[in-house]
Amino acid sequence: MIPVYAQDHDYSQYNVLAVDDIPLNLLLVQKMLSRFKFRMRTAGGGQQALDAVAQEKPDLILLDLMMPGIDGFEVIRRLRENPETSDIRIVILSALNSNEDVVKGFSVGADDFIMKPIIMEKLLSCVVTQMSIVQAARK
Amino acid sequence: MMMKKSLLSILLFFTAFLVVPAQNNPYDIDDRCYIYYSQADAITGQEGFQEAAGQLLVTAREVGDEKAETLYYVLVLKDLTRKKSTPQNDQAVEEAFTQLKSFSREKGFVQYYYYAYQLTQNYYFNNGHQYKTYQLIQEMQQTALREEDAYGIWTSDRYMASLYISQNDYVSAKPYILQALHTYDTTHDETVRRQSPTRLYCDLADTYPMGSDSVHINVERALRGAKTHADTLRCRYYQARLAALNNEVDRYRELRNYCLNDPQITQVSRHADVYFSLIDAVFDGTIAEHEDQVVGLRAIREMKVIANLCENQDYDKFPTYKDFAFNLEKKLVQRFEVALSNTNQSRVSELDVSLGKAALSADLEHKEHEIDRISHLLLIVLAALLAAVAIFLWLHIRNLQASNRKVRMADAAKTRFIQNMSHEVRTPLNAIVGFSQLLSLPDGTLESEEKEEFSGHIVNNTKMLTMLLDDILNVSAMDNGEYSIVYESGEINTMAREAISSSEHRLQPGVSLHYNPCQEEPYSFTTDPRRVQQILINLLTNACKHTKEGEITLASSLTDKPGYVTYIVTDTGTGIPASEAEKIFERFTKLDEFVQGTGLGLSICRDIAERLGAEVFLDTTHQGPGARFVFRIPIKSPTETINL
Repeated sequence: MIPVYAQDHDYSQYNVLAVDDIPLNLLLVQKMLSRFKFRMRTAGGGQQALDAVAQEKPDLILLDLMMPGIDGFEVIRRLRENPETSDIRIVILSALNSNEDVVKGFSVGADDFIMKPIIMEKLLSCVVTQMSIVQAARK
Repeated sequence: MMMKKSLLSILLFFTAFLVVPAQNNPYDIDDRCYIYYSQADAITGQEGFQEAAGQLLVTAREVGDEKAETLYYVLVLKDLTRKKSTPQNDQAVEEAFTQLKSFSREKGFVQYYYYAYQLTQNYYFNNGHQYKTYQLIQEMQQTALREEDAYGIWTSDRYMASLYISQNDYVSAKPYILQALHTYDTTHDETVRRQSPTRLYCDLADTYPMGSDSVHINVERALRGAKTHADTLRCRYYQARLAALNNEVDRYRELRNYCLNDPQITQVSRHADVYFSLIDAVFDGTIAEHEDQVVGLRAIREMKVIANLCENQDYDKFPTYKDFAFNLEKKLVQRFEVALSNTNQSRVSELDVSLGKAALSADLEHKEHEIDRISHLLLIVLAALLAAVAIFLWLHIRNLQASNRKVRMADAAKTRFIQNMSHEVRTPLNAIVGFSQLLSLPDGTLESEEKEEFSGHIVNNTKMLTMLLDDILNVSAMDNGEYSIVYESGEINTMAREAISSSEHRLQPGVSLHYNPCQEEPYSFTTDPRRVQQILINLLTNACKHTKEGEITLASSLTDKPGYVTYIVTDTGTGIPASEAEKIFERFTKLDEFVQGTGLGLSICRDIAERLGAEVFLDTTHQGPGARFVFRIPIKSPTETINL
């Protein structure tokens, strides 16, 4: 079985938004997903994320939870409330690792939850899965 | 009643020696006073007494005769004690009694002090207050013994004996009689020596079995000690009785006639005539006809004499005497028992009356008052106790609540710390793990510049993770007392520059870090250079975290506070409100939770500074933007540090 990182996926038609208040984490995600050729945008906080979504609706959001101002949970809640944005696939990437946080994440509307430190294989598998759903929806 | 009157006469007989007026002013007082005294004395207890006594008092005061004035108080008491006992008179007697006692003592006429007792005792005794009499005698005796007053001792013994004899209790009376006689024989007190021992010897004779030698001897002694005609008469009266008991009928009759022919015999015995007539009846063989009279005799002792006499008679001559004597003895025993029982009852009832009516009611009132007072006191004490318990419980609960709050706070702090640590550890770990994974991708995936960049991220985040672990280990070591300070020489600029080089990598893009040395020449002092650098690095790291633009300056000074090396870290970051100046030095405190860090850095700075004898604080006078921290280390001489 070919590892996910070695699989050829061309997601250049798709738009991904990575959200984290720590620039290094954004860089890491960008580097990890570079092989999939996404149209990748980044946001340094909750408000910036909502602004970026308003500017252009992404297909997938990779979202940190602990951020100053509007945190990740609130971002999801607002996106799910809005019919325009409620169908965006959202994957949480967080250092918060308790069961309560995971349950809270799903309950507000996240589609998946990946804990930090990020295991690359796990992230890529998750992204591929989410993209297959996005692709299916487009068809 | 008859018995009481007899006794009164007996007691008066005793006291007569002290105050019986004589023609030639035996009291040695002012002559005019003596005349008034004699007049008043003659009518004590009668109409006109007060006027007569009043004249005595006025005259005594006029001439300044204190003894005459004392005698006035004697007469007042005497007058009152002649009257019948009523609550009012008892009160008046008590007052006169007290007055005479205090006046006689004050003026030095102590004999009248004891005389006051005698008069009052007579009064109470004659009015049937035996218990009160007994109390007074005891009181007098205690005073006399305390003051070693022979007259007082002698009088009290004599009165005690008389009291017991009046109750037919010769056994109890005997020790007092003997004691009084002993006092009489051994004392040099003239007042005592002037008294007559006759009555005492006669009483003593009565304590022995009838007809025994001791009786004879004591009656003889009584006769020898006689000082007045009345004394002699008393002895004759006793001798007549003895002669009768010895069946010396002729001698008896001679003595009987002697006694009955003397008008003073009533002073010895009011009923001498009845008594002698009964003895005569024994000898005549007609005694059985007078049984009622025999049984009615005042003194059981006299009844006993008749019984003995009957027993001593010739039964052939008086065949009924044996049974008569036996019956008499039986009645005598019965009477004795009744008398004893009456005495006891009267004592008890008197005790009840004296304690019950006056004293008890007063005592009861006093006790009720006392109970009220104690109840109030108890209520107050109880209330105070309850209040104390309530306060104690309240304090205890408050302490518990405080402890509970502390525990909960500590628990919350721990939880916060763990959550925070999890985040703080995972953030650098995320970079390390993530970039390591990228580096481990098959060759050709990454550019060489990328590889270099990723390695740099791994190194930096590893350093960050190491610092974080160091912080935790430092706190743990300090808590366990394992944190050591090693004194050696530290150079002011070297320590600052090394701290800067260790912190530069934490600078955010566009922020500069400068060092402003106080002097370029090296300056060394004794401290723990490693710990000083640790504090400086912590302060600089803190500044780096909060400064997104502008500059951070580390300055050193030897003059800011003489005797101290002062480092000052100033930044142009977000700044810290003065109100948080102390809070930021508490453990796990982060003003901005999204700024990386354990919240331990500043608390570690303060802990180390305290161990160095140094101080670290936020300069609240600093005008922003940004914050300024001051770190002052005392300059120790090498010798000072040896002892540390």
